[in-house]
Amino acid sequence: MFYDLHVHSAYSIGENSIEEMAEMAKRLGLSGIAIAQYYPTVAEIPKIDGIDIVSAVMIKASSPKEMGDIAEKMRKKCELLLVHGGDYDVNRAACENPLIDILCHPELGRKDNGIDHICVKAANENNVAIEINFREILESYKRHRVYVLGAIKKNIKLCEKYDTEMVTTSAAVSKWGLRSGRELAAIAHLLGLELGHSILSVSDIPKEIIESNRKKLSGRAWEGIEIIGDEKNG
Amino acid sequence: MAEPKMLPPTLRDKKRYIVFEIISEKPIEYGDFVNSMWNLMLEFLGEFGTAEAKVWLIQNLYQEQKGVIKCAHDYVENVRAFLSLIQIIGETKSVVRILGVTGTIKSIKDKYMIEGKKDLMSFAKEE
Repeated sequence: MFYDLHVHSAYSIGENSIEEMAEMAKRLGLSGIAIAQYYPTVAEIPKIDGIDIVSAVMIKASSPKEMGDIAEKMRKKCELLLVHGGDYDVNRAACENPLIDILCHPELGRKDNGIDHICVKAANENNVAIEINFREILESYKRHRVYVLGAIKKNIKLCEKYDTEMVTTSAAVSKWGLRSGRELAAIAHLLGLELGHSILSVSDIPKEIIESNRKKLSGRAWEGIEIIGDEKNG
Repeated sequence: MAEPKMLPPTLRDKKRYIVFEIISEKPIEYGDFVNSMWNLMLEFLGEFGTAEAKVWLIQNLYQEQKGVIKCAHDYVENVRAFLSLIQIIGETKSVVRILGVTGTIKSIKDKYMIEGKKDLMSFAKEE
């Protein structure tokens, strides 16, 4: 039972339609994928039989304030909130914001790893997961790939230290960029994540994030409170 | 673009500094050495091994055929091994000889002083 929480389709920057992505994901044994869309253009996402399709919104902001505003606006309209990392201020603001679910590629376009112990600690307190982005490794080569691997290794080391949750995603932009869950876990394990944690990062952790968000959206759970059982039976 | 804060000492990477000297027919430019070092390293250690070794050539300390390579503390032998495989830098035949391994930049200054570099300590603070 594997989940991939960061996939692009034709709704955002991807090449393939949602149906094609879903078909490929089914063949790879994934039980759910999250279709990410960039903030201003957010459309309704169709449901597909046999696979769990999650609607996700990717926030690409240039300043922490902008990111916070968009997060408040979009929290009730989608099942998953991702933040496009890369800038240190945005990374840190995302880690300190409990509305955010996942901080994606904090090391994007940088020479260092983009987050420090303060961010990771805050992310643990606010239940923000840090992403291990497979596409960044896949599409880089030679010297650049060495830098990317080094930055991700550093992030993993920090997250292991502070018990922050990590999520491994393929971030695919076409159906050929998708990978099955166990292979993504192998990459995460190779980069220093414990084997058990790396498998959780593609299975249980994503599932818990989605389930708790769906409960909150349907009005069955709030911060710290949850309705258990049917309303009739009390 | 803002930088991440410096990590507390226990979380920092453990590193070693390898001091080396290049013996060659003609003087070697810094850029040539960087290129041939990276090419050989990627061939010999691979992309993953290079990422593990965290190799970094310190530009400020390269002078008169002597320089300092920073690497992960458990990869010193691997770095030694691939440095020994260097035959040609640019178009000049050359040999890399390792003078020693230290744990801090300060001890490089004490033991293998690269002459003419008086602001070594200010560089060490930035690191």
